[in-house]
Amino acid sequence: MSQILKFHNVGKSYGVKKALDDVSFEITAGKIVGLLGSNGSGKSTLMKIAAGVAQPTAGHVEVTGMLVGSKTKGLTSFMPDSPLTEDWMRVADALSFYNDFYADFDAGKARDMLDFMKLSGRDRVSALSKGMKERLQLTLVLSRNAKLYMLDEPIGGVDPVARGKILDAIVEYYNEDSSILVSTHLLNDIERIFDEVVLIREGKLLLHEDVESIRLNRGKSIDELFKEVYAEC
Amino acid sequence: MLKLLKYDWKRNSTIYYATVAVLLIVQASLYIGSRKGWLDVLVIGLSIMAFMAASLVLFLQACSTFNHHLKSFNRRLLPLKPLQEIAAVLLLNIIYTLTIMLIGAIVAAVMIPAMDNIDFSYIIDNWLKPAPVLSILGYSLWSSVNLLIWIMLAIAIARSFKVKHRFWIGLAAFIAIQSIIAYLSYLLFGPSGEAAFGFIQFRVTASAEGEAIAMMPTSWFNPLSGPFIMEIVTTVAALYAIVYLMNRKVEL
Amino acid sequence: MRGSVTIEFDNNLPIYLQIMNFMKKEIIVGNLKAGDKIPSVRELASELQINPNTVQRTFQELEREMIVETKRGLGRYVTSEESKIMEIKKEMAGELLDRFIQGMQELGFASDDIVSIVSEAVRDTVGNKE
Repeated sequence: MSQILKFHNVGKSYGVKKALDDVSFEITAGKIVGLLGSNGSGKSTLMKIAAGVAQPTAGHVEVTGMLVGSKTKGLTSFMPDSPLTEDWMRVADALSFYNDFYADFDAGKARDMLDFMKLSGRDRVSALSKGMKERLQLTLVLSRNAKLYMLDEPIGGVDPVARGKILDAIVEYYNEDSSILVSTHLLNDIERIFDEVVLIREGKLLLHEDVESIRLNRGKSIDELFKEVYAEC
Repeated sequence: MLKLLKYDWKRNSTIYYATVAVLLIVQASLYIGSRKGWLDVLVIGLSIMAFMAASLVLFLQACSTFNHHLKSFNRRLLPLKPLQEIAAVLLLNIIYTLTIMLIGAIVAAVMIPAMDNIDFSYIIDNWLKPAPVLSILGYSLWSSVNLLIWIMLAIAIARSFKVKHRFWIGLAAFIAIQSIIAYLSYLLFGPSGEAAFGFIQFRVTASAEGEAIAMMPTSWFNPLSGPFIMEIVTTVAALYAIVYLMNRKVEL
Repeated sequence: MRGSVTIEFDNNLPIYLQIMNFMKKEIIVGNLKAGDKIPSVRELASELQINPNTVQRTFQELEREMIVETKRGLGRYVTSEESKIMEIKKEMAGELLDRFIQGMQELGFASDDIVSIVSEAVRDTVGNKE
């Protein structure tokens, strides 16, 4: 089973504060993994390090066996909770930006998704509603044939209909050669999407387990497990 | 890298065209004014000021573009080497500088013959030759790029910190570095004012009205002059530093 | 399975077991007939918003129990053996009965009482329906 993402004793300190503390885990191909934790637990930092936009202060990270760097950026498709477009752009510019720089970008897939969302290439990015902007971001990120997809809180602050569409998209873009890491602090419906979950609290990795095993062995839903774990904070 | 340039260009295109348009309009107005009898010295002064303002605006755009490279996710996530991003911004600045130079040349060619009250023959005889002209243009272009690199270093230093007042850290770093280099240059090459402009000679002439300082171009710019080599070395060091900071210290 | 599928999931129990039970019911009840084609992993995962690997596991288990068979290049089909379907029906009924009888015994009912209570209840239920 091929390795997609591997954290080797990763630490990240900002002065005295430890955002991540000795985090190690591995994600193999063909998995949808939930990265769970309350706000400030280190989820975003973890993803930023894997995406190569932040550096660990200890340990190292590999994507498909390569140390994180400009090469792995070409294999990683990251959706942060910040904009991926520039205000001067029209939707068509955003698409061609991704198309120009990422060899694995599937322009046809992107155009289909945009048609489906009734977005035109001529629309100005700055004129889009918040919801449309988020869907555009999701389109850009998922239209790449990457090895590692990372979505940082894609369903937070989103209405239930849009939430369903996002889950749909995740399931649809699943394939056996790549893996998707989704961070969230809300569970309910989304827990049925996950193969495995990684629980982070105050920068430490608490748990990395197969989801159905948790249900079978502990008789709990992931939501319940999460609440138990974080109730001690 | 050219792909990056395309997007940087588009990002700034409104300001670029606006600046060029305003500059041309101002120059055209000044030309008309000069024909209507405005003071030549005034016209030249305003014209030069307009050029300087336009250059400043475009230069600042190049700086801000680099800053944007360092702080937005869509740029930091790109599978590119820092040197490519740096090169794109430098190239942008070169295009901007050449634009201003071109407009300058056109304006000079149109306005100077129209000015009857000033005797430009001294400049035309001594300076309008290939060696001085190309040396000045080439060196100006180099200076612009050079300055941009140092400012990019200051920006990279500032963005290596997460504190609120990092702008001042960057500014302080810039001033400190420039001071150190100036001091080193003084130690190595002495206080001569023609340190880097090795191709201009200052001549003091005595005449009935008093002393006058004339600047005479002597020859082609000398790339092997000590000061210039030092500039190249320090600039290359700056580039290394920027690349290092972008790889290791600049974070989102 | 025609149209859109909805299952009420209990997140405390393994999802693949719940899908399996649902599908077995569909087959017993006749919504899925012997020899019918069942949705692909991707279709079902998308429909239910479930992890595809979970659906895959479900199908593998169903295949192991020989309720479903794979026809190379064509997809997955409900078994054409009517006898197998009867077997599942009896099995599921058996599970229900075991739980019911145990529950009634815990309440203190004797075997004869259980039988007569059941007869009465069935008559009433059928009567109410008419």
